Order: sequence, then C-alpha cells, then structure tokens
Amino acid sequence: MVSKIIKIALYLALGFGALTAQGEVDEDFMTTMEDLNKSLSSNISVKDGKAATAEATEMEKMFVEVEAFFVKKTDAADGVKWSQDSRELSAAILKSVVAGDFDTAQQQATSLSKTCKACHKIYKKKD
Amino acid sequence: MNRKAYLAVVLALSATVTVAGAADEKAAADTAAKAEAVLAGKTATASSGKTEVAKANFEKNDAKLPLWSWQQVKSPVAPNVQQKNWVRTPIDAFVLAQIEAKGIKASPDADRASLIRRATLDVWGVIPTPEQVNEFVNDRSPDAYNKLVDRLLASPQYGERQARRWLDLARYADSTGFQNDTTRPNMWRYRDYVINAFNKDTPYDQFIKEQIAGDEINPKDQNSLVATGFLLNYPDNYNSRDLVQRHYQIQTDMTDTIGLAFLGTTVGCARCHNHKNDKITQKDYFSLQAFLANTSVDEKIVPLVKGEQEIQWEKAQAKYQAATKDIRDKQKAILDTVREAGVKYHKERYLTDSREAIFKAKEQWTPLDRWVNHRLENISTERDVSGYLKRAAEDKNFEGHKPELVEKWAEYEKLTAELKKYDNLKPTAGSRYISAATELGNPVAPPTHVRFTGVHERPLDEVQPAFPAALTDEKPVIVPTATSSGRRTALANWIASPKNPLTARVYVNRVWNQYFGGGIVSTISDFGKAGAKPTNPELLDYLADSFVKEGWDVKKLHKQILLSSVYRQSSAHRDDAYKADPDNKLLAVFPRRRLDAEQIRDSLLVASGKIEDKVGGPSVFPPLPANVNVGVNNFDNNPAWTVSKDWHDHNRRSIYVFTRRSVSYPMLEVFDPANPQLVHSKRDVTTTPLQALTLFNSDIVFGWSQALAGRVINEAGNDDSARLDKLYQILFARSPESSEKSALREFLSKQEKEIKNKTVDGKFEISTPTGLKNAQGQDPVHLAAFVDLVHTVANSSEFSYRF
Amino acid sequence: MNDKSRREFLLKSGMGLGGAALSGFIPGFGYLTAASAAELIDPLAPKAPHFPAKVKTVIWLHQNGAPSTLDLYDYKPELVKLAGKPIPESFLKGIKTSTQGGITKLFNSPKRQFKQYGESGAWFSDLLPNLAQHADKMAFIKSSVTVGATHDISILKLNTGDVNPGRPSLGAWINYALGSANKDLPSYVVLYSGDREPSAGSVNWSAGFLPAVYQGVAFRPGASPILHLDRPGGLAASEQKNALALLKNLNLKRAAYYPEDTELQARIRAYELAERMQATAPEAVDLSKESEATREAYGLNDEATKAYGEVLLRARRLTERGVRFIQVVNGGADNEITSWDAHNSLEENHSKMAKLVDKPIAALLADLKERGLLETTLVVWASEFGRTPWGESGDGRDHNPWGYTQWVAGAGIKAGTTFGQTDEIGVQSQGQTVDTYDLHATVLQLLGLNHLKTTFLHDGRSERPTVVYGEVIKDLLA
Repeated sequence: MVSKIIKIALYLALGFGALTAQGEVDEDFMTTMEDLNKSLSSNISVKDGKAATAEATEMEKMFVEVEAFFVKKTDAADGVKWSQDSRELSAAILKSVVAGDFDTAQQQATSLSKTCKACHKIYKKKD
Repeated sequence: MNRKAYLAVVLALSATVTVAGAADEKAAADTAAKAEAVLAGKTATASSGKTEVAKANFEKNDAKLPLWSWQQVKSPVAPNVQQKNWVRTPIDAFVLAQIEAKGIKASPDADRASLIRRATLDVWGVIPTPEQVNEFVNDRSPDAYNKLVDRLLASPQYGERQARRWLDLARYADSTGFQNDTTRPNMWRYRDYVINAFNKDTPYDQFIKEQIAGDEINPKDQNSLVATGFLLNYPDNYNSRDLVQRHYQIQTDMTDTIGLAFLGTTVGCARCHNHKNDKITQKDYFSLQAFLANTSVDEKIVPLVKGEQEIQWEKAQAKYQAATKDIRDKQKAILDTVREAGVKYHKERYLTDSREAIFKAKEQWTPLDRWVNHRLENISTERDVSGYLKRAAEDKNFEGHKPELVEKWAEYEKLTAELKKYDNLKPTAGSRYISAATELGNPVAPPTHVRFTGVHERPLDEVQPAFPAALTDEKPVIVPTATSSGRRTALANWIASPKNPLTARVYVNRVWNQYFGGGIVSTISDFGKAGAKPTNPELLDYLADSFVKEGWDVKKLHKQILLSSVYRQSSAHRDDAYKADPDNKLLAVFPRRRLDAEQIRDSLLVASGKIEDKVGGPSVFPPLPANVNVGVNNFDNNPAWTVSKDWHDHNRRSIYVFTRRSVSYPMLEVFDPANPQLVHSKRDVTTTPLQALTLFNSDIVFGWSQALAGRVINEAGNDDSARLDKLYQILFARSPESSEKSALREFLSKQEKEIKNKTVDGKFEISTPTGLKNAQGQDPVHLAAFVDLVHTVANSSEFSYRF
Repeated sequence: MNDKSRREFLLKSGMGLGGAALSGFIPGFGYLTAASAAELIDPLAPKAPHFPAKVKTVIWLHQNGAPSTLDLYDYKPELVKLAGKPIPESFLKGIKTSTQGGITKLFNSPKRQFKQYGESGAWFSDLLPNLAQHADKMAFIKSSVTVGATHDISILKLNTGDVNPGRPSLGAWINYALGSANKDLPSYVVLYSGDREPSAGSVNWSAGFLPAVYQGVAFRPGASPILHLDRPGGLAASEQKNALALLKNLNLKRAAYYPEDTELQARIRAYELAERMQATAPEAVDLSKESEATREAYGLNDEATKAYGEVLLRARRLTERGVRFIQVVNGGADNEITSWDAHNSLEENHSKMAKLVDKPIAALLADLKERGLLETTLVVWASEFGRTPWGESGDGRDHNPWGYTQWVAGAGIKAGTTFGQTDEIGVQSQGQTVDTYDLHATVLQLLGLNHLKTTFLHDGRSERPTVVYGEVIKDLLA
C-alpha cells in the first residue's frame, strides 16, 4: 500500500506538473533513450548485471512517458502499441538480467531496438 | 534541464522514503511535493533555450529553433581554469576547461626538436633541416618559438601547403575528367593564384569574393580573373551532346561546390527534393543556382601581363608553327573542302534544344543561346571536321560519302602522321592563355527554374537569385555592370559578410582540423543538422569571432593556433589521459598523425637534397612506375602522361604534379590523396601493405635513399657513428638512442656479408650512394650496406608520422 | 611504457596474450619484456568461429548506384498494368516520400520482359540473360529495407551499419573475428571496376574503431593491381630480408612508446605482409594464366563487360587463395553512365549496367561451382537501396529504401528460394523485412559467428557489427 502510494507519488511527479514544463518527449528525450539503449546493450554484452538492471528499469519508466505522450495524441494508436510493446520488452529484459540470463536479455534488447526503428519509421521526422 | 539529472533527482528522492504506515503517506506526499519543488526550482534556473522548447509536440521544435550553426557567432569569454600557468592564449582556456572537467591535466610542452619538426611539417609540409632544428633548439631567447612561427608563416612554402588544402576543396585538376579527360592547359594559373593568395595573406573575405566573382568585381585585374578558376574545376565532358543540360550540370556543380566549400552546407541535397535535414527547399536551392546562371568560361584570354612562362611558351610555339606550317596549311586546305558540311554535320549531332540555339541567328539569341553557342565554340576543334572527313571517306552508306574523299582522307592521315614527328617542338609546359569565368559581356542572365525532382527536362517555376529563406531574411543586392549580371558579386558579398553565421565558423574549423586531425565540428563540410555538433562550441565561436574581428586574417589565425599551448603539447602517451579520453577528443595529448601523401613525398625529396625549391608555374610530370600503363589512348591526340624532359621537374613539390583525373599519381595515390572528382574535405589515413610496397620497392624512392646516403656521407664524413647521428638528425630531428645505434651497426656488418655473397644473374651489382663528393678509398660494399640502412630508416614509421 | 595498460589493451581488443607470453631476443635491443613481446602476436592469426562455419570466403558484390530490381528480378504485373497512371494512395501509407508536390506517375519500361527460370521458377528480366541461368543457385531477399536519403550514407550503412562514418565495415569485423587464412595476402581486399576508387570512399572498408590492421586493402583496376612488387635497384632477397627485419625492430621500438596506437602496430604488420606479398601477389592477381575459355566466359574480350569481368576473375583467384572478404564495387559502363543511379533514362542506364555485370557474375557462379568453391563461398548481391516504381521525369526511378531485392548464393544458403516480398507494385516490403543489420547477422552466421557475441570493447562500450540490431534470417539458411 505504502509502496503503491510512493509509486503514485512518483508517477504524479513524473506525470503532470513536471511533464508540461520539463521532461518532454522531444528529440532530446529520444536521444537520451537511444544512448540509454546503446549503453544497456553494451552492459548486457559484458554481463554487468548491476548497470543493466538500473538501465532497464529506467528504460521502462521512460516508455511509460512515451505511452502517455501517444495517448494524448488521440490519433496514434500504433504509437501507443509500440510504446506498450517497448515497455513490456524493457520489463522482460529487466527480468532476464536480474535472473542472470544475459543471452535471453540480449535477444530481447535486439527486439526492443527493432521496435524503436518501427516506430521511428512513422514518428521520427528524419530517418 | 537535463533529462537525466531530472530523473536522478526523482529517483534519489524516492529512495529516501521508507516503509511504515500512515506516517509514510505523508512522507510520500512530501516526496511528491519535494520532487515538484525541486523541479520548480530547477525550472526557474533552467538554461534559456530549453524552456522555449516546452511544447508537447516534438515535430515543431526544429522549426522553432534555427540550427546552431545558423545562429549568429557569439563572442565567448574565456573560462576560468585551474592550471592557469598552462594557458598562453584564450584557445587554451577553452580547451583546458573541458580537459579539467574530465579530471585530468593537459600535457606539458613537447621538446623543442619535436616541436620544430611538427610545426615545419604542419606549416610547410616538409621536415626541417638539421640547421633549422639546431638554431631553434639553441635559441635561448624568450620569444624563440614566436620567431620560429613567424619564420614559418613568412615562407612561400606556407602558401604551397595551404594551397594544397584549398585545392582539395576546389576539386582542382589539370584535366576535365570523364573518359576523354582532356587537358585543361590553364588551370595551373589558378593554383598559382591560391598559393600567392595565402602567401601575401589575402584576407579570407577577399579570397572568397575573388574566386566567386573576380571577373565581375575587377575585370581588368589578371589576378582576379585567374581567381575564378575556383568555379571552373567542374568535371566536364566535351563530347556531351546536350549543351543545355551541360549548362544545368555545370551550374549545379558550381552551386554545390560553393555551398560545401564556403558554407559547409550540403545545398546539393536540396536539388531533387527539399533538404531532408536542413531547412533548405528546392526553391532555395535553385535560387542559389540562379546566381550562377549567366556564368560561362573563356579559355582564351590573352594575359594582360606576359611573364617569363608566356614568353617561353610563345617562343616554342612559334618554332613549332614555323616548322609545321607547310603541313598544317595542307591539312587546312583539305579540310576546307568539306568544312561547311563537316561543321554542319557536327552541329547536328547535338540534341534538339541545343540545336535550336546553334542554328539560330545571332540577333535572336537568348542569354541561354548565347551560353550554348559560346560553349560550342569552346569545344569545337578541327577534329570535328576531320572526323567528318574520315566518316565520309570510310563509310559508304554515309550520306556525305564521295569517292574523291577517300584519297583526301588518306592524304590527311599521312599529313597527321608527319605532323606528329614535330611534337617534340611543341611547348612542353604551361600555356598561352588564361581561363576565367565570364558572363560573355552581357548582363542579362538566362532564367533559372526549379526542376521537378532535379531533372533538368522538367522545369517548374522560375526563380530569382535569393538566399535560403530559413537561414536569412537578407535580400541580395544585385548591381549589374555593363558586361556582367552582378549576381555572383551579390552572392560573394553575402557569403563573405561578417554577419554570415557559417563562413567564418566553417573556415576556422578547417584550419583547426589541419592541425589537430579533426575539426571542432567533425563533419568538416557539413554544419547542418545531419552533421556533428561542435565538441567545443565556445572555442569554435571564439575562433570565428576573432578571425572576423582581425579582418579575416588567415596568417593571424594560424599564428594564434601555433602559439597555443594546446598545439605545443607533447604527444607522449599518458595512461591517465588515455583512460579518461581514449579517443583524445579533448586534446589533452597532442594528436599523432600519419603525414599526408604530399608531406611524405616532399619530405623524402628534402631529405635526399633533391627538392626543387621553385614556387609556382605549370604542372609537371614526374616518372610513373614502369608497369603503369596509362594507355596509348590519346586525349586530343596527346598522350595522357608525357614525363617531363627536364629532370628538375621530377623533384618539384607534389602540389605541382599534374593532376589528371583519370590517372592518379601512384606514389601519392597510396597515401590517401584528395579525390579531384569532388569537394574533398578531409584526408583519410589508411594503413596498407601497398604503402609499404611503394616506399620500400619504388625505384624512385630507393633513388632518393641513395641520394640521402650520399648527402649524409658528404656532411658527416667517414665515421659510421657520425653518419648515423647525421641521418637521424635529418630525418627525425634527434640523435639515435644507444640501443638503436647498436642495432644499426649490427645491421651494417650483417648486410655487408649479404652483399658480398650475392650475385644478381651472375653479376655483382650493388647500389651505392649517389652524389658522393669523395668516394675514394671507400669500401663500395660498406657504402651499399649504408644505402640499405638509409632506405630502411627512411621507411620507418617515425619518418611518416608527425609526433 | 606501461606493461599493465598495454596488456589490458590487448586483452580488451580481443588479441589476448595467448601462448606468446614469451620473451624474445632481438639483436641490438636485448630482451623484450613479456608485454612488448605481445606486440609480436599476430592480430591476424586465424581464430576459431563460435560454431562450425559453412562459408570461408565472402564475395560482396556491391551494386553501386542502386539498381532497380523492378527491372531485374521483381516481376510486377500490376505495375505493368498501372504504368503511366498515378500511384494509388494505399501504397504510400506509412512511408514518407521525398518529393514535395506529389509522386510522379508509375513507370514501366515497355521493353521489359520477365520470364521464370530453373526449377525454382525465379523471375529474371531480359536484362539478365546470363544470370538467369543460375536461378537455382540464389536465395532471393525480396523484402530488403534500409534508410535511404542519399547514396553516401546508405552505402556507409550497407557496409558499416551506420550512416555516420567511424564504424568498422563488415569485412573488418570478419577480419578481426576470424583472422587471416592466408598470411601472404591481405585477408580483406577491395576491388573496383571504375577508374578510381569508389567515390563513397575508404570509410566503406575502414576498420573504424577496431585496430587499424583490419581495414580492407584496395587493389587497382586494370593490368597492374598491385604496384612495386619487385625489389628496387638490384637489391637481393637476402638484403631485403635483413633490411625489413631491422625496420621491424625500429618500428617496434617506436610503437612501444605508444601502446594504444593501433595504427603504428598496423604499419608494422603492413610491412610484413608486403614482404610476403612480393612472392604471392603477382601470381594471385595475374589473369594471363587463365584459359582463353575462362577469359571469354568472364567477358574479358568485350569492352562492355571487361572491366567488371577482370575484377570478378581476380576475385575468384583470391578466393582460391583464402582471402576472407572480397568487396567488389562496380564502376560505370561508359562516359556518361557511371553507376546504376538511374534517376532518368533508366532503360539506357540499366541495359548498359546490366550488361556490364550480368555475364561476369554468371561466369563467377559457374566458375566457383566448377572448382568446388561454391560450397565454401558466399556470393552476395547487395545495394544501398532499390528504386521506386514511380518514374522520375517519366523515364527514371527514385530511391526506394522501403522494399527492394538482394540475393545470396553459395554455401549454407537455401538455394532456389525467395524470402519476403514487396507489394504488388514494388513500393514497400510486406511481412518480415531484412534490414542491412539482418543481412550482416546472417552473413556472420554463415561464417560461424554469432553476431551478438562478436564484440569489441571501445570507449567503455561493448560494440558489435550489428550495432544494437540484427536478426539472423533463418529461412535463408539451408
């Protein structure tokens, strides 16, 4: 219960007041995600569990925002789906990493990257 | 605000919350409030640019913010640094700030010998002499290095080196390219112009204007005319049957080249479609092309000032003309009988719209017709008529065929063969005329149209000369002269304006790249959105700003960089720097770099004592390797490569080697020279066994080693130890270490044994030093071993690198 | 000289110390330490793949300029039907096309004839009569995708996996991962049929952040692909050997001061290789030893095919001699036609370009087969993108990165099959797509390498050929 409240508080902090003034899902946001993705892939490759865990966790959180962004757009059902898929993949990567199964994590990370590309095809201004 | 930092704040705050009932609900709410407060606090002090961006739709951001490189150049203040005593110039402060942010220090100065070797290679493109090294090393005055820099910049070799860099951008070549690869006999004058411009320190803005519009701005000044050679290096195909298309293609080349070379902008991408990254539309692109619309080339301008070269050329030509008058008169007589038909036939091979222009009466010419006809005149030669004669004689089905022509053609061929025998009388180098851009004496330009998908056969709206709308609101001020449209002047003025945000930045970045092996913006000719961002924007703007404020003075820019501590740093390996910055992006260690093709060849020439110091003049033809077959195909009846008769020409600096687009000079080719087919921004560095084969097995290089061996012996005498010292002084500006010396001596004795034992095809054949002043009493085997030693040491990495 | 840093570097760069943690005595220098002895380890020593390889040599036929596979392999009757009409909107869904102001009309060359060939029934157009005879050797990839604004960046992506320079090319990765199978020749060679090196530049065969020794070596076209193979000035072989040994020592000493500088190390290797090449290279590239029949088959007697034919014949010889990766880039067909890039006059362009490559590639496939080499060689037809069904200026095609065809032939692939497809008029891929990363992953797989495990530590990051992407296309594998 308490942890739930903490989570909501966090989500609020992430979701409303903050979002409109700060963490936009803009180009810089996406660049950060891309860097994060590359770093995550590297950390999985060298089997750095601690770093990979932290990064996968962050990725998942960021996709929450992305999903919210697309939901707000109201005409971007595919964008919503991609962000949901991405969020799930991030969670799956986290699980694999925590369990020490880096091979699976790597496959999942590659799938995640592919999802990024698919969404970019439509929603990234220049590719 | 930085996204990562924000998240870190939130995550950190969340970590402080512990679990325990109702108190926690409050705590949780507190956390949320704290987070918001932090955010609010952060918001208030967020860096200016970002808050403007706070709209949820990321598609509009690009439109709101002009590109970083399109914003006006700032005048940054040098930051504070810890290692204050390392800072000699503001450049150092900007660089050091980033180094210190990584928690490391800059490197100490390189030792003097290394420094002069480095600086001489960078500024002159050759190694220094031992005398120059000693003078500098022993100069105890406090401004010794200052004096060195001044001396380096004052020498004509500075201009030669800078010119080579510029010629890379200008896609310089002495021939037209394509399959025929016709010689461009006058282009060498443009090279001279560039060398001279750098040597007399022409301000960069003037340099720009002269090259883009010299003929408009100063039509009576020979120098200004020659400068427009910059525009005229486009690859060309004289065979092209579509002259109207050629006009379009040439304009395209000029526009794209100007965009890349001066503005660091890939305007060419916007020819077929709106630029995919930068805010340049097709309309913008063709509005730029419009500035070039009336540009043509005159390749037969008689020099206003006849120099020695012209006088010699005319002398030789006169001799040739006199000796061949009879033959040529006879040839002309034969061709005259078919001339009218031949010319008409030749004209008819052109495509429809070209033909229209060609057969129109002169009074009815539009500006484009004028261009077309002028080009036709330029590329028409006697071969057009003789080609017709040949066809008419040999092809029975040809409509122009007449039986009597068979005999005439046979006679003509005989005369041609006769004529060839006098080829050795022809002037061997240089040319009579000047080539320059021209607007054919008429200020009215042909219209420019946007082309559908860039295809010239699909014209759309007409456009007027204009600058890219998203880049500037400025409108061109076009003032036609009596003989020229004035458009290129307007374009040049805009590019060379202190308010143009790109020009100075692009140029200072190029110079930075020359010294440090990488630009502050790594994409040297792309300052657009797809290009890299500056790694040190304050440094870039500082350089650009001071460059303009100092009157666009190029030598001052070089001096500033050369005097900086960054430049003077040691290149010695440092574990801490390597760990913190493995790619040495921050320049905490001076970057080692392999020499470029010209530096290697020229330095070998200097070391061997064979270098010819002459500055400027027509291109030369050093010998090619024996098995390189450039073909017996004749370009305009001239072979592709006729080795210069005067052997002095073989030892000129590499910048003077004839640049034939279809024949890359092999010794230079292996070391990543510029590609003259395009605007070449950055020299690659590859490492291949082909380079090794060239340096080790080329007879020419081996010959230089023999000469170097001779020089060393002449200067150092008979003592082996002294010879080794001298050799190292010449090549590396240092003395050999004792372990090196023992290895070298051991090699000598071992090699002597090998030489004594060998025979080549039963003969005893050895290679001894050349140019020996006193060979008496010297053991030839020992001398031969010494040659091998010299050749080996010259092949070492240390020679081919700048440390 | 810091032993620890050097050892660390060598380990991280995958070269390792191996069994050569030995000390060696070099005349004049004394004994080397274990760490500097590591410099003597050959970075090109053959290394075992992750699992047994099907392929020993890759011949990568980069079709420079991007051919229209709609005019070569992809028969689209719907396109024939709709030619001259505007493109139905449905085909453009989900992609951003380049031209503002609308796509031009659909284009089909009236001369184009397609037929099916072989048992597989693969489609070939009239432009590839010779290649069509080898239909059953190929596994087509008909749902290729990439990003395609301009040639330069897409070529870079095709070869190195990124649109920005700095990454190693596929050949460099393979060189790094597997080492050389013939120490007397470069194990990664670039051949081109144009006059000059491909204008896209040496970044396309660069080692990127891998040690410089792994970069490709470009041979010249024409009669003298490698110059200066003969010793100069009467120098005897023994003299030269001595001299080169001295050179190596001098260079090693220098390089030891800069342990992280792989370029200096590569130069040392380059000289060693050069020494050996003197003996082996002349024979390797000498086409005069080939029979008249072979020369004829490769098109050496016809100006229209000679340039490319020479290059492919050379490639076959290099294959026989164990070169691992042969990157072939076509030049032009004549004065005006310098590549496949037919934005207009497609018919003229492609009839000449197809002529240039058709007979030689067919000859290569037949020749490899006959010599039993096809069982260990992979031939790849790749291009930076494809071309659109809509015509530019009425008689050309624009760039198409959304759906185009490439093919592979040779060892380990499912010959006579087709993977993937594009829509009825050849705009977009349908179903599973094959990006450049997937092609790379598949090629690596055939070489016995798991792309996910082919890694190199650079700048604190573990890098692999496929960046963060890549999927082996299992359906292509036998």
